[in-house]
Amino acid sequence: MFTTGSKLFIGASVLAIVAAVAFGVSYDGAAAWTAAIGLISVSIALLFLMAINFWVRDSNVGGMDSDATTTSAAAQERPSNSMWPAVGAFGGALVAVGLVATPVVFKAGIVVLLIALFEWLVQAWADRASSDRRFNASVRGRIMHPLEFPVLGAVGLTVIIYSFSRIMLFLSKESGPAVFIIVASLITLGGFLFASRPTVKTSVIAGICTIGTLGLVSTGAVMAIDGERSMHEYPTVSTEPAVCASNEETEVDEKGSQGVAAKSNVAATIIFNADGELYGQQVGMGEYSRTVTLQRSNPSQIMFRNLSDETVRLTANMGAFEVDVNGTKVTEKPVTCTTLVKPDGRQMMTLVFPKSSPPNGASLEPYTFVVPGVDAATVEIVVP
Amino acid sequence: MLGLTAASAAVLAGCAKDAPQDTWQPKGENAQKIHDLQWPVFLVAGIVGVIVMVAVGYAVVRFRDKGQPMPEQSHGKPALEIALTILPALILVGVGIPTVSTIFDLADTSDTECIVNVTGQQWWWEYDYPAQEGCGGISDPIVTSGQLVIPANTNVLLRLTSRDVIHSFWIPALNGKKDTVPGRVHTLRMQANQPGIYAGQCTEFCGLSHANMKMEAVALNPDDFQTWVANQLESYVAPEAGSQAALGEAAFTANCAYCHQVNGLSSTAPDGTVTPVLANPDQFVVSGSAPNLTHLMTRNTFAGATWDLLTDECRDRVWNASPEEFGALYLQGVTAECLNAVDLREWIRNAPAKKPMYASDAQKANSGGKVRGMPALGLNETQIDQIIAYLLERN
Amino acid sequence: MAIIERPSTPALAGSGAPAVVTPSQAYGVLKRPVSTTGWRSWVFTVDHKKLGIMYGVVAMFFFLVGGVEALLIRLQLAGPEGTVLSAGLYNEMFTMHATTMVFLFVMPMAAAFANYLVPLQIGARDVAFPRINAFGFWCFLAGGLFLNTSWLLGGAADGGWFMYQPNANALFSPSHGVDFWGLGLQITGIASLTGAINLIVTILNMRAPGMTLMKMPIFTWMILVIQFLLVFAIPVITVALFLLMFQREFGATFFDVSAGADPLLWQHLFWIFGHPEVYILVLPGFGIVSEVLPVFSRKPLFGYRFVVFSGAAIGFVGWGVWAHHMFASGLGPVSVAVFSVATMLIAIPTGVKIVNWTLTMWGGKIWFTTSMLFAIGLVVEFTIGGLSGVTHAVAPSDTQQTDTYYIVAHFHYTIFGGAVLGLFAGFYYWWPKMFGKMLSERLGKWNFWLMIIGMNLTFGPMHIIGLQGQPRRMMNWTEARAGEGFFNLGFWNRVASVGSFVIAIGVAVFLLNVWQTHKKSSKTPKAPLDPWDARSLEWMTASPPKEHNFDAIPTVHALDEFFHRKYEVDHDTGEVRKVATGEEILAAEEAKADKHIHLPSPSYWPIILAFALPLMGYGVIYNRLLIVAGGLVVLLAMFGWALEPSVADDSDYDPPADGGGSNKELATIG
Repeated sequence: MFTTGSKLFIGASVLAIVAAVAFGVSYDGAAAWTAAIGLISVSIALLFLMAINFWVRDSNVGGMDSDATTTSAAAQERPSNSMWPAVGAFGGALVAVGLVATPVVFKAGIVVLLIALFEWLVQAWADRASSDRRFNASVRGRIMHPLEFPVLGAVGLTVIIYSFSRIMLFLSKESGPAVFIIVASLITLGGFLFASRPTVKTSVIAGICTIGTLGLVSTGAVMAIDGERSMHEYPTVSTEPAVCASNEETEVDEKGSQGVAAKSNVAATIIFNADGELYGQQVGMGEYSRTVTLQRSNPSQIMFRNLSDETVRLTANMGAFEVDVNGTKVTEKPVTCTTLVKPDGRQMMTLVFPKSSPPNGASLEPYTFVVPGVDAATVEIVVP
Repeated sequence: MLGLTAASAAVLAGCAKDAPQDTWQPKGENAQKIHDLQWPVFLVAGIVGVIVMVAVGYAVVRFRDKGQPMPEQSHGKPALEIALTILPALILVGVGIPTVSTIFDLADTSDTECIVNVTGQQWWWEYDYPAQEGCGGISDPIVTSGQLVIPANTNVLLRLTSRDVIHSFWIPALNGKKDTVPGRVHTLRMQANQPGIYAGQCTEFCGLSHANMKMEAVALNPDDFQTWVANQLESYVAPEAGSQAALGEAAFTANCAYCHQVNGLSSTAPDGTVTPVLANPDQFVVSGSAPNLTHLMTRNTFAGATWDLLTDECRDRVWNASPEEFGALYLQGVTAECLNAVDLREWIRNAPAKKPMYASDAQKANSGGKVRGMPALGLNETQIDQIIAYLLERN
Repeated sequence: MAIIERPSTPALAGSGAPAVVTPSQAYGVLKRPVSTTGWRSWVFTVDHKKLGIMYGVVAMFFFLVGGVEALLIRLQLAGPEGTVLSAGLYNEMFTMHATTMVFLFVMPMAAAFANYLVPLQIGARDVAFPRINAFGFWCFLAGGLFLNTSWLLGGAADGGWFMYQPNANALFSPSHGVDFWGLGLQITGIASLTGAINLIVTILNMRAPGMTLMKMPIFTWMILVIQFLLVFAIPVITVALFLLMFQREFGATFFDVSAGADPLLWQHLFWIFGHPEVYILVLPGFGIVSEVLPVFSRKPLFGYRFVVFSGAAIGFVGWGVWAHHMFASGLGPVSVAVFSVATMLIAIPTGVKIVNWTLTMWGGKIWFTTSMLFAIGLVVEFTIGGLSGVTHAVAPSDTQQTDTYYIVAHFHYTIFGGAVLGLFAGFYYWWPKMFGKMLSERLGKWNFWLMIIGMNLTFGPMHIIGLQGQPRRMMNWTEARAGEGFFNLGFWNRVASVGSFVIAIGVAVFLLNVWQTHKKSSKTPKAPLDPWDARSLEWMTASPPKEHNFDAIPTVHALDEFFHRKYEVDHDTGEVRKVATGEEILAAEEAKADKHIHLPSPSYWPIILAFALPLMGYGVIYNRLLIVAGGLVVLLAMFGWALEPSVADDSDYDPPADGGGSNKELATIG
């Protein structure tokens, strides 16, 4: 069952363990630990090699065959060309550079080394499968292609997607879509041209694709180094009393993220008009109402429309409650407001009222919508 | 079967003994529009069905194997095929045009005069009436549950939404159903031709006790409706000191008022300060709401309209009342002799045993310590008696 | 005499030839499973016929499971305030009844027929991707079992098969049932998707010479339409199920109102899948009756082209009607009007089919076999379902009917009356082909009448119950709302419950029929080669067909090729004369048997890969480490699969006992 080679490694690893035990018994202190860990690591490595030997049956084909003279490893042609020694050397170099320069390069070097090691092992094994090199190549392909193709494909795609994303992030918000459309059209056009000219040589197509990919990747690299365009997410809704009470300028992202679905069904539209009046509109509840009725314990989508000439915000004062904080009564005034809305702009906010408005709620103050800075602009909120 | 159903349903429509949720007996303008649209469709479908079945039956009998020679191997007659494709298309055009016009007609809510907000939650309905000019004038908001009270012969706008999952509001005799979706407000027009009581049922599957989420719509003459509104807005009358009901008030405040609001209820501290008792259902219930019990005994049902507050006899009297007598009967509310104390006792004693709900401690663990539905309160029989006596005065 | 060729190379012959060590030998460990008998020949098979039979057996098992669930529901509703099931259990029961019947019975049973018959009908030796075919079956089984283990692990899904948000969220449905449901359907979805691609490639590429698309048997046509529906519908539900999984398991907020989402998104996603799904369920039945009616009327299908195009039209228009499931959900009048009209449109191609079936029988010479009875039953019952469908295509009318028993009646008339009756017609029609034994016609007729009476007793009264306002999915109904007189709910609910047991007896008779036919297999006579005087290609081979289907791939000259080889039509008089028997035609084909027939070899990997998926499913629910474990098995299986040549190597066969040459089995032909 066990092959000669694997038996050798088993023996060696047993020796290493025995030696580790011996060290452990006879020495103490850090030296013993270092030695034991080292020797056990050696033993594990040896067992790994044993497993490989066992798996590939010592790379020995028909070792017991009578005609081993023609079929055994010894009788085979010289091994085929291999790129793995070179790749391995490159990996080694990376490790060395990484040790001095930066850990990332070191880790990359380790990965390259491991890949080279594994590929080398498989190729060496495949080269001995038979004396027919074509067959050997197919054996290698059969075992390695299912690994190599998906991995290379994934890496390639990642690189391309990452590069492209860097390009899109570098471009301004305005030029981004244009570039996207141009690139997409070029790719579609190229695909169309290839399809309509089936006689075009594969090498030409491959060449064009390679150039395109290289262009994309290099542009991506340049733009990644140059950095992304400045992006800053502005909240569309604030619950800071200080912000909500003031009318000072804050940054506004007009296209800031808002629940898209929120717009599909507004519970109330609150309008601030040119005469400085605030009023509410609700489905079926009149056009110009100074009161809006909203449900309790239920998210209500509110749309604020600014029809005045000023830049204003809408603030929802959601009552005042006495709360017990560590034994002392504190009055809390929950508040929610939109960002500043430019003339003719609109803004959504979602409100939830856990308690009824007075008189049945515990609130000490009524609930209101106000526009800070405009005294008369008040709409009462009734939460039954 | 369909043809039979359609035909016999058409013949027997109007038979008063049918189920209260019969979809073929419209009692309001909107349901009537649907009905006017649907019965011809049923008729046409029935006729087509009969034709197909007769044709199949004839072919099966006429062309059975009687030893005739092999039939001609014909692959069909395109002209006949095309004709038989166009025919159903024409029928469907005939159905489609009135369908589209009715869809838009029913969706129009511009002619409504009265607004009620309807909110679904597991597993009961809350109705709140905003202060408004409509409905004959309502000065302060009214919150009620179980029975939707509307003025008869008035176009009422229901604004439907939900506090937890999707429910669907359906009073078959008055209009088709409309889902209540959290975060959305849907509108539905309601109109009842005559005073009366109309049954309904939540029709969007909403969890454990979906079957126990019923509702009733009550239509009253405008005068009676005003009486009802005035009664709903009446201020709190505390029970007579020392009475059973007064003990009940204390028991209610101690056990029920965490979730159930009774407007005007207050508690007096030993030092004599009077503070209003305010329910905080948002701290105990997932949906953040529990029925307002201020005028419980003006409605005939409880627990999601699943059980009646009236005894069977009194209930039948209300349900079978003529439109003229109905208003007066309904406005009597639940009197001591009509009270269905059996179901109410069982409910107060152990609600989850009567109606499946998520109210046990183990179940609460899954929803952040909050219940869905009413928990078992562990009250003793004396307390239950007192609470019932107290509730009986909430009229 | 010809030999089913297994590739062979001179084994380590001496001389200078390079010694060949084949990969499977080189890897040392796993040999290909090559046995042709015993359980291994089934578990590792890639033969479309064996897979078809296994699909059928498992689907039949789930049919019984779903049937028991239905009976429990009907027991609960037989009287007022039913107490057979608790509220929670009732909700699980109707959720799982629908899920089981849709995903674990009708779809896989259609897959059973498609798998078994499509290659035979188009004159191919197997499907295009045999191992993917096996993978699909095992995914279906793995997913179905995974789904049903939820009964034992804290309760099945309880949100209804539509699993509306937010009711199916963890807050409102705290058991793991919905997770099992989502992940289980994800796994069976893989089965549907791979199967669909496989059959599309098979049908488009592997038809016998001469078989143009317009000479393709109608069943194959309908299967082709269904596979396209699946290819486009399954990805939608896959996305929806992923959203559901992330919402429940990983704290996403796709349907969370307070985070600005709209729960109606789920409904749109579900029904964009769900409505094409309805046609996925019913078109196989249509295909089967379109085969059965012509055979037993002794006439070609009336308007073959119209039936094909109406099938395709149903497939297309089926994508534009999903929102008719949402007429009451508050879409707004414009959307409702558009979808209402589109829904009426789809009645036209459906009507075309009914007309064509009727006209196929018209002027024929009708032979009332059990199969034919089921087919006629389908035409009648489906018509009822189709017409009641028109009544709620009228959207305002639908707002009164939706979510009541009227809808339950409607879709049971279409799915039981359309799909299930069609499948039973298929059982009786193709049983002799698949198993070489005739099912008893006497028991078959009992089976038919019990089922047809049972279904009308069960689902007919539901029209009344529904129009009387009894909503669906209610765990009980009350006397207070039952009404009196002819239409009272109590009486008709009882009738429906009785009817459901009549159906159950009908199904039991079918099982008895199968058992009787096969219990003393050696004694019962073999079925004749061509018992029904059939018309299409699958009858032009032995019953049951040989492993390689056809000794020689037939050349096709006409629609109904087999019929035209048996009969000669005098074009002047229209007289039809029999010129050859099925046996003679088969003998002629066997005489031309191919010398070399390549058949794909069995494989371990499909089943290993498929059963790694539920492992990952349990991982999502219980312990994320299991996901890693399952993922590793998936990787291993995919790697092994990729390594494996499609045809087993010589060395996979055991060395011959007598020391002679290879003992690979030599199948003789002819």
